Amino acid sequence: MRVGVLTGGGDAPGLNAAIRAITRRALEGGHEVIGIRKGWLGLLEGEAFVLDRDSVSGILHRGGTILGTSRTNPLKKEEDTSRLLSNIERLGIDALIAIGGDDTLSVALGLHRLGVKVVGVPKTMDNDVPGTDYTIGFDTAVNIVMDACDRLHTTAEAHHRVMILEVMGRDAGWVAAVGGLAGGADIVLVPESPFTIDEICESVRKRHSIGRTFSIIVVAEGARPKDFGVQVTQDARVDAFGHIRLGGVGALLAREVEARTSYETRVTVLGHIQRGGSPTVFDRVLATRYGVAAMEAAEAGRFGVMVALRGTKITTMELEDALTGSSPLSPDIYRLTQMFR
Amino acid sequence: MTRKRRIGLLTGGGDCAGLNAVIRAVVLSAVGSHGWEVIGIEDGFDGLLHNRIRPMRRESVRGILTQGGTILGTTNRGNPFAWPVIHDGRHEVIDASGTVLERLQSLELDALVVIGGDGTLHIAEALIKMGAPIVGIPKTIDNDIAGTDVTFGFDTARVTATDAIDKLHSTAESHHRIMVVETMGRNAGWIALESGIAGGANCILIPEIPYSLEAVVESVESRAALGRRFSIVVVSEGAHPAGGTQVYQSAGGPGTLPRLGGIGQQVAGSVADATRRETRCTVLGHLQRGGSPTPFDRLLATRFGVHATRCIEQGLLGRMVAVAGNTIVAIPISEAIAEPKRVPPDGELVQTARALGMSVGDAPADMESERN
Repeated sequence: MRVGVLTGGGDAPGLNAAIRAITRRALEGGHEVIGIRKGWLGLLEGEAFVLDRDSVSGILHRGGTILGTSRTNPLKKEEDTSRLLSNIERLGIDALIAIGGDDTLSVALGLHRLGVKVVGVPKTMDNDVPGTDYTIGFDTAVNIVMDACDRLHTTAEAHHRVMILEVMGRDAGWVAAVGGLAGGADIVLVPESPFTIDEICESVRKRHSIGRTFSIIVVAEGARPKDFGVQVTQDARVDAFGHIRLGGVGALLAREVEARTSYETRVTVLGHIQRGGSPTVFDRVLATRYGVAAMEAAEAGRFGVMVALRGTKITTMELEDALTGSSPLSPDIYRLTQMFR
Repeated sequence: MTRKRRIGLLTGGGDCAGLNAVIRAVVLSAVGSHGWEVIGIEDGFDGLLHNRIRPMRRESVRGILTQGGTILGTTNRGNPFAWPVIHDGRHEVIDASGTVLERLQSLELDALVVIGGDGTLHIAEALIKMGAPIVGIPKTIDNDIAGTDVTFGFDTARVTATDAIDKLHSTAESHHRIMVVETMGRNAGWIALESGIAGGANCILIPEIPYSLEAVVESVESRAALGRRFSIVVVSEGAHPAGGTQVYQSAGGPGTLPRLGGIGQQVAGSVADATRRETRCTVLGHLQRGGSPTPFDRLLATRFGVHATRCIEQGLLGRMVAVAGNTIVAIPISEAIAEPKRVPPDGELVQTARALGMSVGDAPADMESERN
């Protein structure tokens, strides 16, 4: 069997670990593997190369993806879709393993409906794929957020400042809540729970009144200040999947908190640092388990499925079910973050 | 009857990793080796004027060696020569330096150890001229104090910046993007240049070398022509285009300096427009000041702290401790801060970057005219 592998959407640490696991397991089973460059765009352009043992040697610990990625949606135009299907045939791909977030996986589902034999592997630092407990890249991202909180703590305390840390996560508060919880943030603001700026100022003042003259606020890029009624965006552009680029809520919050409380306030936007670097042990192991499970699903002829982590077990589930609904922050974790205000 | 010698200790200006290590070293050597009393002053000169002081004992500094920040607190708004007050409901700036001298006397301080950067040391120098018994200890992440080879806080900052560049590398490569990283450093490019070289950046823009946008674009495009479809551009917050000005995020006010920031976004926008390549900007900000100090910074801070108490013992007041080569020395503060230490545009470090094929943003024509 010839297996094609691609990575789509935003990159995340652990992608290379998954590519390596798929390739090694495939070769072990006597299959051929080809890597498709730049996600769905590469499949449109027919850019692929053979993956052998050497090409995946030494990549386990590297962030990014040796295959490259893109945010292309090949199902938007019919001509793209038919070009993609003919490329799959021309490249002799018997099974396609797509590693990506909800956008990449929704394309995989669309192709499955068109008869392509596809298996999905969930990856996103946002951790917002319904159907799995964890996605590749999330653990590394929250470790980086935790580390940033630790660093900001010392300088916040020294200067008696309010420090605002804006983190990624799109419409989900996982990164902010889990990273903030681990980093001892005083206030965590997530998209799932809109807030007013006066509430935040009140919490900060309350801390001051008991002698805590500094505060750490972790705010998700998609957090919703009720005062403005909308999410804050960097610009008006949208990508091929219709997503806006969130960003800027931290700066806005800093300006308002400083003006209303007159406490010195500074903002740090963590940005793409959260996507980069060497994956943590959790992400390496998760990606490796996912990769092997995806290859084994393909080998067993189970297509249209996504590998997933449920509790401590790796399972497969129908892509259809895996992508239904949304995956907001767990209320339990949100409640925990509120206990430390 | 001789009373116990008593010294005061304060930290001023922006914080950096290693401040607690130096506080610990001063307290342990003063109390332990010399048997003196140490008074900790909170939030720099602000605490001296408002009498926020506390005795510092061995227990007060236990466990702080590894902690970033400063247990004494600090402020960027603590200049007694330009002291913001509210008088009859109006904001005014007064000279409170006389009060500082009175406070030193009423506290019966034989010496005051002032730990600070360029701004705080200038205040110290002015107070020394008025007769204040001060020993200075330089600290700044910017590494821009001329009288010392290096300051503590700098190594931790450059480690943090290098780590960030490493992380951005993998995501830049995956997305074939141009990543712009804005570092701190004020008017000195040390953090940007050293972390840029250590992190393998492709283009480094520092305040000492005004850049041309064409050269930045050229460095990105020439890499792309070689099949390297991503680039890392490190921009020091004080960098500016040739013939252009620095970018500020706030203008400053009574007793506060304007704050640099925003050039990264500007460079990212211009490069994206010129190359039509996906470009993202990351501003490292206060992460560079925080966190546990590196072994280098812990050691340097500890040596500085111990040497400061030696200076007091020997009556060497009006001096700043410094490192020259591998030796800790004490030089007159006035000498140490006469000129800020900036990156020599033709120095070995810049040449090293060039030798690796990195761009420092100057147009090739400028390089030609420099050689002639």
